[in-house]
Amino acid sequence: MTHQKLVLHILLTLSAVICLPGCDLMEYHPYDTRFSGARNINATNVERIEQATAGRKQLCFAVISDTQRWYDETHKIVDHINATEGVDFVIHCGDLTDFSLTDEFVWMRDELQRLRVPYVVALGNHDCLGTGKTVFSDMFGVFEYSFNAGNTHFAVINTNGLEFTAGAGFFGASFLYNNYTSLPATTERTVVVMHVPPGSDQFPMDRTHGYLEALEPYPAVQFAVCGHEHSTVVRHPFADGVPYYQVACADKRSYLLFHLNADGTYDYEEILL
Amino acid sequence: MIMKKFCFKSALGSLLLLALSVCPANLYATSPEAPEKPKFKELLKPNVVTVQYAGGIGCVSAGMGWERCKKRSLTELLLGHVPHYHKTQSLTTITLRQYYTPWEVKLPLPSTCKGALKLRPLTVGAYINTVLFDGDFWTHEPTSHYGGDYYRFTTRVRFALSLGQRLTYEFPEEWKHLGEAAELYYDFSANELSIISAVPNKRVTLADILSLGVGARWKF
Repeated sequence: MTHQKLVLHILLTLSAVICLPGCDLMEYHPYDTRFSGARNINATNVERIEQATAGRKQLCFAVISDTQRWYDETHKIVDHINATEGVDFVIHCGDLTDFSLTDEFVWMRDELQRLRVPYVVALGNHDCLGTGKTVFSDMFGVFEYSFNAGNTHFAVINTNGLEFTAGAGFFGASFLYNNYTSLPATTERTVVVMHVPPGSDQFPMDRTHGYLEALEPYPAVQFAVCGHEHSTVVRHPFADGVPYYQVACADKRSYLLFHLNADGTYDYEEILL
Repeated sequence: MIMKKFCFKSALGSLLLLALSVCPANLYATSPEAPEKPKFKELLKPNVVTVQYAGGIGCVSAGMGWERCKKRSLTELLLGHVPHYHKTQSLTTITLRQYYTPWEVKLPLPSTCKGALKLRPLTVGAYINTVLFDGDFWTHEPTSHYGGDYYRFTTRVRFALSLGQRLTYEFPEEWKHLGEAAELYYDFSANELSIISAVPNKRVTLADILSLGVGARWKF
């Protein structure tokens, strides 16, 4: 190689690196809030769920949670749900990330986007660090929302008490009160979705004042689903006997599959991969 | 908590000491009539100005550097700016970076060109980046809030490793009033949180965690 060619070769390599297309490599900061790809996912998927299940009394949905930093395991869970017939949608109970890095949100979103059926995501406490709240709201939407799948109302609430300090009692009560006014007349039962279960570190029992009162007018609150503590457990934290199904983290390679029946009953199974 | 704080401060201190006090200034190392022990004040004088785009430490970062140890060691202190990271707010960061370049290759220049063109095919580096002036980030999670050991990491400070290359043009004698040299460089870096995300997961690849930074240096 002549000298001129060598210099040209090196300069070309340098300029190719500098002008690399895509620019995903050109990161400004791990907590920079810029990201490419799908945004406002919850609202988009809620619309898909409501359209696909309109008028139905029978539903089947999967619940996953705490997938943070378990990308390979989440990949397998997504594959399994995709191969399961009859699933209408998937609920993720929060903690998509461990450190709230923007890259973590993108990696986990790209795994979940592989789901054949629509999915919705609740906010987890690990998604609230640094600029996590901003990225979460850009990528998925508001922290508290609700949707109607057939005759069932799903209220997704924020129970990350340490990340949202606002006096004593339940800080999400105002959402439940306001949300009730927009409940469709066809609602026959209610399912509550949250990240931290009542009685846990971020949502201790002494901060649940106002929670049951706000939930009281909702028709037939059958059960709640939650995550946070990384194991599959069923609890009955309140005297009303409503079960709270806690879903294990992705590391346990497990998820819950709920079947809501037309006669108003339901059953569920834990799927272990 | 106290222990952690102590360790962080001493890590910063050690890096500075390593770069500034152990290595004699290149100027003196090559000049036969120079005094054997350069004055401490001389050692503190920066001899590099750096501007960088991206690379995980800001959109645009700028600062100064100290090139020592026969130009094998470079220590830099940079201020970085991330615009609109939080809708309307911007983010300011500070980076302390240490490079080591084991060797350099002199590249041929056409006979009409004066000066010297040198490639450093490998630069290895490490940096500490800290977010300044923002309440959303903590070095130690607030004890009052989380009890002190809930998340067990810092959102404010990142540690990263980097690999890259440099192309340096050393000015000919008649240009020396402009300085010693000009340099273009790039680095691929990965921070510690990305590395621990990628290690146990096949789905997270090296390309996913790398961040590219490109920049220019003026040496005087």
